[in-house]
Amino acid sequence: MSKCTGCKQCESACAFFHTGRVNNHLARIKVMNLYETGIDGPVVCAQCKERYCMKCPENALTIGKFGEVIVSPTMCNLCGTCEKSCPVGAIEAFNDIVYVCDLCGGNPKCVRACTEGAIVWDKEAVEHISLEEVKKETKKMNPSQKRNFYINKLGSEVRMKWRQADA
Amino acid sequence: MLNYGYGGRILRIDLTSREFQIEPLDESWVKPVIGGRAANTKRLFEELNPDCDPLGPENILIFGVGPLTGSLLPGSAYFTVSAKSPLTGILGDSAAGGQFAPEMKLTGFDQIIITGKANKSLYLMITESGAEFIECPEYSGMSIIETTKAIRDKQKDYSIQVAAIGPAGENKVLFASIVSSGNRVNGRTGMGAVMGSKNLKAVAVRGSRSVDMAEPLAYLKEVEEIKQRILQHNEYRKRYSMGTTMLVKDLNSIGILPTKHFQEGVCSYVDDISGQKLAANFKVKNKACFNCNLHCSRYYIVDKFEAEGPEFETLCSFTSRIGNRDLPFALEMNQYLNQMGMDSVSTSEVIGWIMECEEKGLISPKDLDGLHIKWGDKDKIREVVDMITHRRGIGDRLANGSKKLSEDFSEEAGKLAMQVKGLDIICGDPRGIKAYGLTYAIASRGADHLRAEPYFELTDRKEEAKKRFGTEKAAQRLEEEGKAALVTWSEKIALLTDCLTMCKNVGLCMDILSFEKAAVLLRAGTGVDYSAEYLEKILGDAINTDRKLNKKFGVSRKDDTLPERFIKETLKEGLSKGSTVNIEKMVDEYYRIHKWND
Repeated sequence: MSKCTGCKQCESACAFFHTGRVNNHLARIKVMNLYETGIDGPVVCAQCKERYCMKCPENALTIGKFGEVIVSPTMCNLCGTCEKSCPVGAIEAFNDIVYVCDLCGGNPKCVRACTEGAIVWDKEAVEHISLEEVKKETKKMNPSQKRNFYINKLGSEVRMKWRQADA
Repeated sequence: MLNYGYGGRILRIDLTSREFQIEPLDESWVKPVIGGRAANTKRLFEELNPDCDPLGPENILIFGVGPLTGSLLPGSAYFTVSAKSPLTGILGDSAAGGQFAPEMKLTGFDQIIITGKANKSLYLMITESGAEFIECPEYSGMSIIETTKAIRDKQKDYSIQVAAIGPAGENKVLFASIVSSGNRVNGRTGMGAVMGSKNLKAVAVRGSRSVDMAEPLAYLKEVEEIKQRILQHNEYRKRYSMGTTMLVKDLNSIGILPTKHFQEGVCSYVDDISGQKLAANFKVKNKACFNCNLHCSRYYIVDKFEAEGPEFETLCSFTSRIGNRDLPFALEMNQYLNQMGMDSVSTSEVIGWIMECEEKGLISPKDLDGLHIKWGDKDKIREVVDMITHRRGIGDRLANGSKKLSEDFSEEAGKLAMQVKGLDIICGDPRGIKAYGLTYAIASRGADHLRAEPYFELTDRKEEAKKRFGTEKAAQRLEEEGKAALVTWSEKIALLTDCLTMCKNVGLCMDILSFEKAAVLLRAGTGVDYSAEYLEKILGDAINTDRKLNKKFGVSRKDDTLPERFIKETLKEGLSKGSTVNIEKMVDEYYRIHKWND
């Protein structure tokens, strides 16, 4: 995250690949620009250990071969359970569609779009990251607030390194 | 019907009655001005009462974007704010990059036109469906970032982008700025004071529409090619590392780095204040505008100060221009000015003018309420800047800018105010860059380089110069011949970037944009039938509109000049030694080319 410049080329590439449109709100990766700390960072499905979103009452969610979350548009009834359960705001219903990273079928456009090397796809990292601690703190938040909280939290570590380097 | 590229609508807001109206943007209206700055000027030309008080409810404040703003095109992240300037009394406008413009674009409004005056301090929350008027007296006195955070927290939405004013704008400092994306500044001509006069603390935008292109794949192909050209540009590494702050050493090396208020063009301690030093010691990461692969902006930390930036103008304004050799202090000032919402160039000019006049005995501390300030006196500079921000004590007079301030003193002191038409000159001594000198003189918002940015004169591309401008001298910075022709060409390219709305570093200085390239992008983007010839013609017309509007404000030929220093005094050291600007001759030629008489 120390490499992210906040340019949002990843968002634009994601939205354009999936929808053919330029509207970054249609992206499945979301870059937060936190002006009060200078931190910029993308939020995307981390394929977390807990898989909070999978308790979908309609069983519309499955896990694909790369560990990605797949939403069945026919089974999903937009109840919002997955959105509510994700601790970091990486899955969200918007305009009758559930947006979550699908790894572009194995060739993620965001990784290619990032000229800074800030986004990497670690194929081994499926269900490695635990979001349990974050979950406790973001329960009552909307997805945007969760993303803000999460990037702030990750950003505080980056800022500590900046401060050390400055001193 | 404008189905592509453009949002296709304008939003009119009356702050007095707290009502808004949505109107369609007519293709026949907008095609001859493209969008952005030229569209804003046309709107002012058609609708503004030229005699209005710039700080009264009648003044029209316009936020404008263009047909390619917020698209995949790198650098297409700018928006222009225009109004009658309270600092100069003529056409005022200022552009900024970052993230505000693309978000504004997604609201589907190409222009937001604001008139009237709110009876209580408020902010506008603008979405696809219009504007909400949200009172916020509790934000009074807040910095830009505090205001941005307060609005986002309150709306529970961190995709919102905010363009706000700080205390300087609230106090109607005549060179107050508007700041968005935390540290992205619409700095010049006092647009922040206009917002302040309307009791408008901030404009917040959150869009949900798309920027649909007429031929997405053709457009994407052009974008990919431009991205490659940026990456392969011979200045890429340098710009990536330092952004415009690379100019500190570059300008010093050719003897035009304003030092001690333009008394000198070579700074002996340049290595202490350079972009190189900033990058090596204080930069912690790169920052970027929306969809740009140059990432030329930077974030720094120094002691308890941190911010994005600074760009060259602010860095020079608070180092050599006022005799300060302490880089961390300039970085402190950058943060302060950005957060208080005040233009760094105009602030520096007021301070530098006092310093020089005091040194020369043209004014004394008793003329300015006991204010005594020497070159590089950090504590005093800090104090004075704070007094200006809050119009406290003598700061109240200083907040009216160098021109108005100097009018209270002798003619000799007045001549030392480094301004044209009331706008303070940027950091580049025109004695060593003649086409820039001409640009400062003729620029329609007052002394300014961005109206033409004729960097071509620094390229030494002699053959090309002969072919395009009739003389090899157009590519040689110390020559005056051919500069009127050069500026006539580059002011159109500069306006083109402002209309698309694109970054000038990418579009102009890195030589990415031409009339042909713009026509291809516009056709693929908007589906409107733009051609290179047509663009060149309408850009010329738009420059005439600037002129006609300024004539309504009382501007005439005699105002298109430079401060006497640049015409009569020579620089004593460096590679621009011995040179002066024969400005009248260049302006006359420029007028001949434009077929202007007065």
